Amino acid sequence: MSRKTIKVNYLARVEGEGALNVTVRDGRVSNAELRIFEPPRFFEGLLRGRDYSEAPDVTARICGICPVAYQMSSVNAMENALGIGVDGPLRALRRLLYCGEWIESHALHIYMLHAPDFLGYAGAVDMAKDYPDVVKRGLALKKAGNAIMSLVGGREIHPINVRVGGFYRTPTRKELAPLAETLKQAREDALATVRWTAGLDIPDAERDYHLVALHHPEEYPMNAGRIISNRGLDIAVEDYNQHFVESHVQRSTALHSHLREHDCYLVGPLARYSLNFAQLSPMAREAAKEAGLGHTCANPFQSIVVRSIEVLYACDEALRLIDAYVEPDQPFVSAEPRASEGFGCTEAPRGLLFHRYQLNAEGQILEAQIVPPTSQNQPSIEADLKEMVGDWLDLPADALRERCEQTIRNYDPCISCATHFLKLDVRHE
Amino acid sequence: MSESLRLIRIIGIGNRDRGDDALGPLVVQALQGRLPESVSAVEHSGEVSGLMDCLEGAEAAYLVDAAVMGLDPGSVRDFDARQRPLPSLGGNYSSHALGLSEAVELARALDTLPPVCRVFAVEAATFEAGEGLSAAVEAAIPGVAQALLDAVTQEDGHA
Repeated sequence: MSRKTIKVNYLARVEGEGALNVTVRDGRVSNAELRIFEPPRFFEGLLRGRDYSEAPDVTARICGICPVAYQMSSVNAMENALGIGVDGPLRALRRLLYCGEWIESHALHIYMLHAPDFLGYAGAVDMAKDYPDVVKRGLALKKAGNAIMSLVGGREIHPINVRVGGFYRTPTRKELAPLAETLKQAREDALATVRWTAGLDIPDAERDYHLVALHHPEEYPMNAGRIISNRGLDIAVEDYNQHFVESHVQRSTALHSHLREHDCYLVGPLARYSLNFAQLSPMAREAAKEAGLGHTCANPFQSIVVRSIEVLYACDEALRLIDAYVEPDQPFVSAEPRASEGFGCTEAPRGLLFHRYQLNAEGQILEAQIVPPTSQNQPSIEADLKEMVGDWLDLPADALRERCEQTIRNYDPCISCATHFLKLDVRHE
Repeated sequence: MSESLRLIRIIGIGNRDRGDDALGPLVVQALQGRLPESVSAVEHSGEVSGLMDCLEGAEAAYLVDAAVMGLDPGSVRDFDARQRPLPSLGGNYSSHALGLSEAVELARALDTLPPVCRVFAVEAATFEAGEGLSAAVEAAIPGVAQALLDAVTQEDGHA
């Protein structure tokens, strides 16, 4: 019997610390395990006893690349608990802020973390020497996203302007005007990004995923909607725990998520795109068609193209929101504490992010539950590797390891969020 | 960002709430009111695109950051980034937040590295959230601030 183990003992260009062990027995992959060994961060524990109003700022600290997602899921959950709603310009501003995060997070991943895999470079610095204009375009796009974060969120990293009920301060139309000019150029850069990523040498690897994302009939999902799937799931955010379950596995300090009845599932750009193609803007749909994408996408290596479509959409949507913006009378809606439970779910750049809080009558947090996208995608990452590595076993050891890393980077995993990430260990037995 | 910065720049990188990572911002604070007119001193989180903006268009840039170099805590190293690539300065635990070395090397690859670019790195003892500076790193601040003041004064004289 021949047995081979592929080990990646430290995965670069992913967020956090982790490792991958793949075991090959008689030419077939018998096991693929993602080991996450970053220490857990106990955010759910430290939220207990805190005031409800602190949740957006505390949870924003979970991640430096997607703090808005944490703020948005937490304020949605708190507003659900307190029985208030945010609509009109305040809702639009939240969507604008989320566009900023998608743009900066996706641009970083596309250009700095993922593209080097497709072009055979160790990283963005080496790639920049041969593709300076491409890397400059990526940095300019990221900067445009950061500009939204700064203006609407108060600063680029860990924004400070979001509160339960709205914002501490809302921008004027005059303040948003220069941002629109920046975003017009960013939209051009985003369109060029779609065309560029579509031309990359993308491995052919379709997978039969159970795709899960938010869905809203009138908009591409960010802050609102029902949780749906391509296999018939269609539930309110409040019912999340009736259908999804988290479990601890020894190899990971991040909990694994499963659907109670369907095992692993996929969240993130492929799921969002495939379940919400009709809600993209005409420009984004046209660009997807030109890039050769259908209305759905099940090739994880095409996630770089789908992220580019989402960057284009986010630029287009941000421009629409700025154009339609009416300065609100009040920057926030007031709320009174009450004993209650609230649920919030939004679309982080990496996928569905669920929050649940239980409050006492004074508004203190009694219990917090946070389920980040990378936790939900861990079983799917392992399933991808288990299914795909078998086709690559003839590759030289280094190329095999690189392909495994690339497969994991398809997910833009954020192990800082999931606790946090990565090493490859392929063992042949 | 570069439009509002002067041509000679001191960039203190770090997070005031992460133990010795506060070094960069505290050095910048120690230099306030002591710098020539032609010099800007700014704090920065180290976020790669923003940091590259700070470097672009400068005649001289002096970066100061806490680092993990395997030295005794508080030890100071002065790297001339124009002369050779920066060594790993550690502390880059997040690949989503590319570090100081990556920002400098990207700027070099994209031909936006200033004609003068020096990095003052101070060996850190702790990056614990919510902790203050270690005694060794706190003791290094006056010396680093003076070295930066000497460097920019000399550069200002050349300008």
